[in-house]
Amino acid sequence: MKSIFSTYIFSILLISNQSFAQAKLTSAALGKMEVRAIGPAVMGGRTTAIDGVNADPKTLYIGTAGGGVWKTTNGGAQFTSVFDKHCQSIGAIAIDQKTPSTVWVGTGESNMRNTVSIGNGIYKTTDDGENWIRMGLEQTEHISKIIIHPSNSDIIYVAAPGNLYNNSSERGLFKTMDGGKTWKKLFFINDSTGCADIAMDPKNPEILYCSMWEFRRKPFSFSSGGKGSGLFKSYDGGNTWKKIHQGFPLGDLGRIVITVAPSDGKKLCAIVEAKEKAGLYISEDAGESWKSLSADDNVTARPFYFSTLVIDPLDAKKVYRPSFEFSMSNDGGYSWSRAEGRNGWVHSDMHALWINPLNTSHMYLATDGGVYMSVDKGNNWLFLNSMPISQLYHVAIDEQVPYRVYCGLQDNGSWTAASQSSSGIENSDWKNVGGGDGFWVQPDREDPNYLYSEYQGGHISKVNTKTNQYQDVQPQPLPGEKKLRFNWNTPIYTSPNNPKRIYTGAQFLFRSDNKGITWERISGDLTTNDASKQKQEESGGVTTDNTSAENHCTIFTIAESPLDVNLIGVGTDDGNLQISSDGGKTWKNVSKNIAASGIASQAWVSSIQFSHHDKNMIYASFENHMYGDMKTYLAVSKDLGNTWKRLNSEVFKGYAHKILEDYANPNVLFLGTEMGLYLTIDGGANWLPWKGKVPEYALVRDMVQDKKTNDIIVATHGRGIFILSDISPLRNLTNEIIQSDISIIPSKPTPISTGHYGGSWPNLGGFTGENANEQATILYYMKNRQNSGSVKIEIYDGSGKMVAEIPGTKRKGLNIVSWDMRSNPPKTAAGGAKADWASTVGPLVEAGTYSIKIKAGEKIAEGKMTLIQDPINAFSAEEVSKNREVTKTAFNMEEELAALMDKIMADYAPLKKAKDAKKTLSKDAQAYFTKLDALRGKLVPVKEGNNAIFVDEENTREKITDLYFGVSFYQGRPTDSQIQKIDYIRKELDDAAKEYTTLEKQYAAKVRNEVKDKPVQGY
Amino acid sequence: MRKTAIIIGLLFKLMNASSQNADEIISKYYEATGGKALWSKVQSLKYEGHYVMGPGAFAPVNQYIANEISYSDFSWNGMTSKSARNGDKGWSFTPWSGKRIADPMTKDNIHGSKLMSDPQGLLFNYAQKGHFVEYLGTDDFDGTEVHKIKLTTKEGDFVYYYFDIETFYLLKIYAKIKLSDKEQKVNTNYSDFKKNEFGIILPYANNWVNEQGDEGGLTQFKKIEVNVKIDDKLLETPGK
Repeated sequence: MKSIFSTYIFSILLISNQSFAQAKLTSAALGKMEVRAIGPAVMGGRTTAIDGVNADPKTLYIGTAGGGVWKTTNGGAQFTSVFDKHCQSIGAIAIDQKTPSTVWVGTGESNMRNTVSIGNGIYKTTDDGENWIRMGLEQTEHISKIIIHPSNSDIIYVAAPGNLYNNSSERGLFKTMDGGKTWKKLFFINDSTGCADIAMDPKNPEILYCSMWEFRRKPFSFSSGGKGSGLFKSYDGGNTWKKIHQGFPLGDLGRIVITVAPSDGKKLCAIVEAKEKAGLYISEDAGESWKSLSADDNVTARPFYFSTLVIDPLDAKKVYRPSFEFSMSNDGGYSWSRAEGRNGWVHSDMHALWINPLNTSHMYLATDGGVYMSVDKGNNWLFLNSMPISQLYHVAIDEQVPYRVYCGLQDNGSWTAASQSSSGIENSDWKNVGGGDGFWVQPDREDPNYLYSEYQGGHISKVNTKTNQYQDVQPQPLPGEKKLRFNWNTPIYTSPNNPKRIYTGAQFLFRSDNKGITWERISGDLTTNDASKQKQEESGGVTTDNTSAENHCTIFTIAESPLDVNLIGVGTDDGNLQISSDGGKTWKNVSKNIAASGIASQAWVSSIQFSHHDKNMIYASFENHMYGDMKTYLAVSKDLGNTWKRLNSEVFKGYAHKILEDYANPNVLFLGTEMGLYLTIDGGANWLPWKGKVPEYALVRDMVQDKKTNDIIVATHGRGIFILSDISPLRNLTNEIIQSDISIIPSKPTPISTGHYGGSWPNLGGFTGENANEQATILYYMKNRQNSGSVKIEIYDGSGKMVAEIPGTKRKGLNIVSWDMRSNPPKTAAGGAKADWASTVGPLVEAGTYSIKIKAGEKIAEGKMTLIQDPINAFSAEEVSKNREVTKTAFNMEEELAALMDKIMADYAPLKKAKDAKKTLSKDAQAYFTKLDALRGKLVPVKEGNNAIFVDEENTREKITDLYFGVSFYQGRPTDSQIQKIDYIRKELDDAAKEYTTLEKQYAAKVRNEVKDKPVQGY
Repeated sequence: MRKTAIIIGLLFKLMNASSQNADEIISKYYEATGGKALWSKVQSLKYEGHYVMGPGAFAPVNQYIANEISYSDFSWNGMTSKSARNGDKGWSFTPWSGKRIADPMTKDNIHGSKLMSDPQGLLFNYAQKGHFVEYLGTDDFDGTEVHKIKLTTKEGDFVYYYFDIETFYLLKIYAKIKLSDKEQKVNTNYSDFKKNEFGIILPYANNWVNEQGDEGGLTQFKKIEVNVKIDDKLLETPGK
């Protein structure tokens, strides 16, 4: 017994000792390497849940399909993301109305489409969303509703439809009586049936209604409905249940939506999915009996996807059905009309509605395109487009400067924008280049006016972005051939070797060298062609639903080696990875070899990456989630697919979507999964999660790299695009650096500029993405946070003169400090009534190599930095030189005037103080004061008062600063009048100096003793 | 036997590493920075330093906090902006654009100022002050592991404290101050910890932090004095 105990203790100590002994790269080491978010937000993404604080309806929480939870405290004027450390797929939100600082979030969206993501439990905050704790139900995967007991906040009911792909007992209706510490499965039917909806009687919380739903999705089909589905009622808080189907359709039912009128507990409405007599049902007797009512298509549309039915909190006659469009009834559901829609289109596909109980004309709507607000009962809506929650499938870039990004979005078409823009990347910068569900968008590599975009099911268009002409260029079947099998998310791929070449795939691979006019079929059927997985016309269950989302046995991903135009790889959705080394003449299926490495044999091939550095090396990512397998699958082959090695890591979460290899360093790889972004710098031996401003569970679907900037452009399915600027420091992160106390990481030469994307107009609404940092950056690594002592960065020019000293940051890992490439600012004249901010702006330094010395406490690191002339503005050396000359002159004039004013104020200030104190002054003192005051008024602004800011004054300091700012914020040749200005300012300065000298000689000696005092600091 | 005892002791320490509560962390913080006995004698703090405007540009600042009294000033280009509070009344004076009259502090300004004017820190004897604390576990702060404490004031403000897990120095405060019709968020990072002449360890530098988590302006102090009396003239409203 004793020896076992000792061994156990020793093992624990050994494990803990080992974790401290090794020092490996961690997320902390990446330090300040952070992404910038650029949207798009001009359209939104799927929003799935809304709840507001009844007593303070300006405060709402919005749940999204893949972008976490957003909060507003001002009715939607502005939103903040509050769930970035947690699962991003949100199914339900409930605010404790007794204590609104407490909010519950159920993760795992329950709109069970083919691309729905999964959750990992239920979370709670007690401090308005600042911190969240997971409170259980980790295995439920999808949560559709949360209800909090109105008088006991420790009692919570949770509807969990559960696992979409597999049998699971972790589903049903759950209840906690102790605020989430423990949970009881209150109502369970079977492993295929979960709880889709719950409602509570408004007067008696013991009366509950619960809809149970049997459903299953496979990669090639969806089935909604079965014997397990039904509507149930409990009178005892969920302990016992009875089916309440009197008047319901017979046979298997699908998803049922249930709602109770908050003002009348007897009034219920339900939408019932069934093979026959599906539709709207009303009960006036608390569910004891139901009446079928006819209602328009919008009311009964797509029940598995539209599960919202809301009765007005105060008026049981007003019923709202947001589904494909927005329908409303004013007679309790007996008749329906559509929203007026005078101010334009509201995004179709609606999933949640919150009505302000204090003003029921005021409501918020969650749609596939974001959140809307109405103040007229849903007739007209205002789109709140400031949340970057777009759901990208893929991203591409072109070779313009700055590069443009191209992306396809779930239910929101295809878009393009420049990656940098004046004042930031605003909503108005995004241009629409395709409709429907957008997936791949590829710019034409020969002509920047053309691109290829698509909508679901492989409907590819060639788009002339200048003339807005769209041409359908989808490959067509051969005569007599059946319809081609295009994946819902059909790949469009451009060759890295041949700018004319594009590829697409159905079950065959197609190639075009003439912009899609002619497609050459360069393969046979590369899929398994499994007939049992091609019955999509039967998909849907009790309601047929077949929109190409379930298309299967199709090509999903295409790649061409950057080293060989004839080396092509194709991945299919049914587990085949096929390689051709001869441009498509012959193909080799390597899926068996992949399976040997431990990857599930039917796993969907999500991406293929041929190495930039070794022709025989291939990376591939796979995902098998539609068979209920959420593992992260990634593998590498070094022999063109003959053998594979699985790459794995304990840090991986979520199924894999994209593997990307750095074009410059073969050891640097990025992996995007359904639950995160990961990095390795040692060829895949060790991985770490990327945390720098990327939500920890971000749904990373795609990535590309720009070779000019070394940016990695990351496409997420719920948080838009993130750009990781310039990853080159990662290539230099050697073991030696990671072990060092402090080291400088070399950075690439920086063009000297005043910035190319500044703007002078504030954002006019919506979201604005950040531009890249154009300042020079000093990168250094610190092993530990600098707790004691300051961190200073000294910058020296080629002659050894220190041109700038800036404070450094102190964090552990990579620090990135920006320098605006300016030296110390001038001292500007004091003694005026207003401040002169030229004293905060130094002149731009010259191009050249600079030495950097970082002093972090006692530690020192040294390095170099190179600044070059700006290639964009491309001023000549002469122009730059003239600018520097005038800037220096203006700088010197500022300091000269400052020195003169110091002398003037040394005598003026005590005289002023004495006058203000009503002391009696001699005639000489009075005269000296009056004349100094007059001189002061010529040199600096002197008007005081609350409105002095609106009083322009002409004075020498203003003229100098005007000139100084005019030339120091530009790098080219100053204008002739700027150059001429120097002369007359020079005269003013000389005259002023002479005048002061004269006055000083005449009065100072007589007057100074009279008012002997120290000058007052400031004025 | 001794070996087993050592091993058991180490195991106990390992297990307790994850079960520290708020009082323990707070206690360790004050012990690490001078000791509770010394901190109990701190009635005021007077700061003298500068704000870094840019390369080579340093604006002198002075600050003073003593619960019922607070004062701060900032000087640039020959002018000084200042603000002061004495009890429930205060003013602020901003001369940059020619204005020469001070503005009175609002009730919200007073509330915020009081929150930030406790020289011992709100955590010191928090219960006696009517506040409530919770331990929120560990978190990551700029790559450094920290203990996180949440203090809820009796007025309903939330103040979050981030303590370095090794040194127990206070690295960051994030406050959500409850105002009349909004909340104000104040986010400050602390660094350059030194022992002053009085014997307590204080941060001699701080940065404000924006909503995106980016550090902004740096203030550095050359001197922090304890229990120095403030010149009453500084509290008088200027420009009257």
